[in-house]
Amino acid sequence: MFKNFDIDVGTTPSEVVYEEDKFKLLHYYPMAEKIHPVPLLIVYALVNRFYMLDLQPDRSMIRRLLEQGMDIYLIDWGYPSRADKFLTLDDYINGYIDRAVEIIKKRSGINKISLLGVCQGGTLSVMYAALHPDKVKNLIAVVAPIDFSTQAGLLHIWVKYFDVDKIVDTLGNVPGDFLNNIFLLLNPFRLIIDKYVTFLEHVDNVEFTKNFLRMEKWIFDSPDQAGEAFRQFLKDCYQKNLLIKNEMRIDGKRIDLRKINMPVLNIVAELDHIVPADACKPLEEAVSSKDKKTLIFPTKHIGLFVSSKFQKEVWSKVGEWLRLRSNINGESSFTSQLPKTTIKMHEKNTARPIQRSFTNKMLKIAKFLPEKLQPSNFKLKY
Amino acid sequence: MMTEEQLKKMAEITRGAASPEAYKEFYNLWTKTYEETFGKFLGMTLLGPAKEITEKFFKGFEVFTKFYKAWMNFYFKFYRPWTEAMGKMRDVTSKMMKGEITIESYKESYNAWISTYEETFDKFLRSDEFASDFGAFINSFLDFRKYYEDVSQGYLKTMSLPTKSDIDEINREIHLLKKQVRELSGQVKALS
Repeated sequence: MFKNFDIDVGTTPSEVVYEEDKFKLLHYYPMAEKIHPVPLLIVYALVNRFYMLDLQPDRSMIRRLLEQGMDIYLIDWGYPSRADKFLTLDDYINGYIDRAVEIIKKRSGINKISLLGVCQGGTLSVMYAALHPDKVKNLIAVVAPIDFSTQAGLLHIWVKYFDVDKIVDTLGNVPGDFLNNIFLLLNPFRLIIDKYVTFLEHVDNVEFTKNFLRMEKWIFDSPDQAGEAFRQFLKDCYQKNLLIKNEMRIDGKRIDLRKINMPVLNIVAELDHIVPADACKPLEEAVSSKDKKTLIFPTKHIGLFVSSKFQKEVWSKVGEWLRLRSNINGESSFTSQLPKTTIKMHEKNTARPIQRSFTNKMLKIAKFLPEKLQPSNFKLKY
Repeated sequence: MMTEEQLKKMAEITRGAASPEAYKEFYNLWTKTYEETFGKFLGMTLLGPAKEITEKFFKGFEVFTKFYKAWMNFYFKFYRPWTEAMGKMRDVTSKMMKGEITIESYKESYNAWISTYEETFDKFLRSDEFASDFGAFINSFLDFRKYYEDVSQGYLKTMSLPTKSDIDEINREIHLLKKQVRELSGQVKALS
């Protein structure tokens, strides 16, 4: 029980192809022989970290999609600091997301990409698709709140009573721990007591313990929220519910959901207590796309990503949906041509390919070192 | 300083038969008395060269009292669902624990405990009353924090050290400059 467990998260190999401020654009290495020509950009929420989508190899949405031949890019928002306090939703949507899209378009040589947004990242993706429909070939919203009028979730009830201006004016960036405490209050007896009782019941099972620790790491690894973006998101979406009314504005431009005309897939978790199903379902009605579909799964918010049953079912359906819509001018939906990559180091996501090339470079340099400092005298650990 | 009303309430509590509401009532009376006595005194307009700094210092008592009041009010609200859930649980456990007590029956009892409390508290957390108190509690906490920061900023200024506002001002400038540079670079790229 007192063993020090080393847990890895987000281990699917990737490289950083672009970075700016705290924002990084990751490109995953392919896992299939044939690759779909239309790249997929994944936009995760600003709350919590993206590696929920790649928690462990057998519970990884990213791996499931890579195995089906998707060419995947993902936005890592990083951890906003005080320097990012003034970032607005405009900076996130028309700035970071748009630049990511432009880079992917350039690298793949095509005009439109597929966009998949998760949770708040789904809401941001929907906003992006409405503002830039000409750049999005397919849109997938996963547990993404669109209609905030529902009273089904506690967050939706509580936020109405929050003085958002006071929160941001006082705290600047909104601390991740502040939000974590609010999330714990959503179901205190399960999240503060029962979860740990269940853990103790299975503590002698190493795999269970590791899975539990991965989840625990993810839950409490919460970046602070850039103040100005938080202010607009809470006021315009949660409090005024402007998005579904087509009245929300980003940098003066109105977000009209009816401008979303590309194929849309809406993934909803029926038992979600964080983003209630009622907040997600209205997307299908709100867009003008002819090809649109809502898939509802009887699971909770993160069950879609970590439940061994659902994550296989959901992501194979999403992969199939994308495959059928990844043709370019009637050509085959597969291509073996991959874009050229620029390799840069990326924190934990480096994985072996990059680590090895880095080590090889180091070994070449080491030839010029004196005998005593030759690497053969040290133990190198990969 | 205690009023006659407060003394009566205190006597009621010390007799041992007081309800949680009586404690709350006593606390409310105490707060009210404080606000009407010391509270008024500390909120008085001051004169003289130390006016500004002393008023700011005294304001701290008011902000802290308001925060403490909201905190207690928020905390007290949890008492009702807690006792309600305890009552429900008492009935469930008495039925369950009849006959032989095994590890399974303990587990069953624990499961029933979690479900009962979860259900009772969910109803409570869903109420507008809770949401409103929660909002008020956060507001008073933020007022307290703001006050504390303002006072700290005052000290930093006297020592010629950069304050939060100074750093924010620089950050805002950098943010706007970065944005401008990006826009201009885009325009240059489009022209070339």
